[in-house]
Amino acid sequence: MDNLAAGPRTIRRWRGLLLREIRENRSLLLYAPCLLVLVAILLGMRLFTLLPLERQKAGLELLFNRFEGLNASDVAPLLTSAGALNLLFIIGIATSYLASSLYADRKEQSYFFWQSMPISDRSTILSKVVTAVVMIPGIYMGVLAAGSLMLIIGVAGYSFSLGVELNGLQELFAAMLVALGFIGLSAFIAMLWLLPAVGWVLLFSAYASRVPLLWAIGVLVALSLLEEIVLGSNTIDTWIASRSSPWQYLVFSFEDMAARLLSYDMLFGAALGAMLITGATLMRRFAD
Amino acid sequence: MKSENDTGEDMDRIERETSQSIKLQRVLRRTLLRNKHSLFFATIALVLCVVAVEGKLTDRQGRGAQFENPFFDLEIAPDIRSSLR
Repeated sequence: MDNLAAGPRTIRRWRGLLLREIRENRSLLLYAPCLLVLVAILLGMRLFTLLPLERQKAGLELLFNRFEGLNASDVAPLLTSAGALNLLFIIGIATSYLASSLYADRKEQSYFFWQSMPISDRSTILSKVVTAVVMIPGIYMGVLAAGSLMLIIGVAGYSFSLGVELNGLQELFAAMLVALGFIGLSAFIAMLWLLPAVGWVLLFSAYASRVPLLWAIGVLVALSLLEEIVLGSNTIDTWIASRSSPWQYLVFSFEDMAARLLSYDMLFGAALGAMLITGATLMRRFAD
Repeated sequence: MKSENDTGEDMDRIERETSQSIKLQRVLRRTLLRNKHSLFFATIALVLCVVAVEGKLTDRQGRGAQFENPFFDLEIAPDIRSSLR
């Protein structure tokens, strides 16, 4: 009976922990993606309207005619490459969130309140990792999908008002959906791929008494420099360089997902991230 | 069916392992887990050691500067390519 009750209880607890993260970081997790997507759409529209009307019409005709009869999965990688900039926004939001998450707990002393609750430090830290790896890309992709839908409806309406035939609208819409899927998966894979960075920033968030993000970057640069000067080697630089190519986490096909998730580099990165996250968890026992 | 002798050996083994585990915990508390600074430096040292050993074992090479991708080739039309030059 206890085992049967433990499942729903765990789900309720995790739901509570994740909702807590959203409530406490509403501006970063909800408002920032909305504003970023809105600004990007408005900027794109403003740049487009700077063109003369004839060129706007020619551009829209080209867009809809090009997509007519095309297979969505063939065109989607092109749209995915264009949308890769969103990954930078997602990583930026996640980094900012992780750097302030444990630090803010200590600064506001809400840490003592959470220590008095029947929730382990491990669950608290894991909820922050899940927020960064799953929730932030998920929320951002939801906002991006809504923004893209509004954009495509707006573009179709504007094209129609200019007398442009919407021949490839269906294909464009299908390609957009597939591209959104690719970008979402790329964001998830990127966050898993960057798990060592997630752990590194969390460790500094749990340790530093001021500006944890600057400490995290500064210490990494200092260690790399120190290694070069003292040992004459560049292991840290090589390791960072070997994991910093965007092709390692950009997804252009659904076929190789299992191979990507179970690749040696991904698993080694996860192990390293787990070490750093364990360090951050143990660090929670020391109050400032 | 375990004999009394076997049960006694099991108990000894459990006691031995428990006392070893407690000793290890005590040592950790006195050293790595003594304060946040020792834990911080120990974590970073451990991670750096693992990265260094893995780098040596796998002969890891940096690939960040190479922007070739394994998924598609970018072919630019000859007239555009010449104008780019």
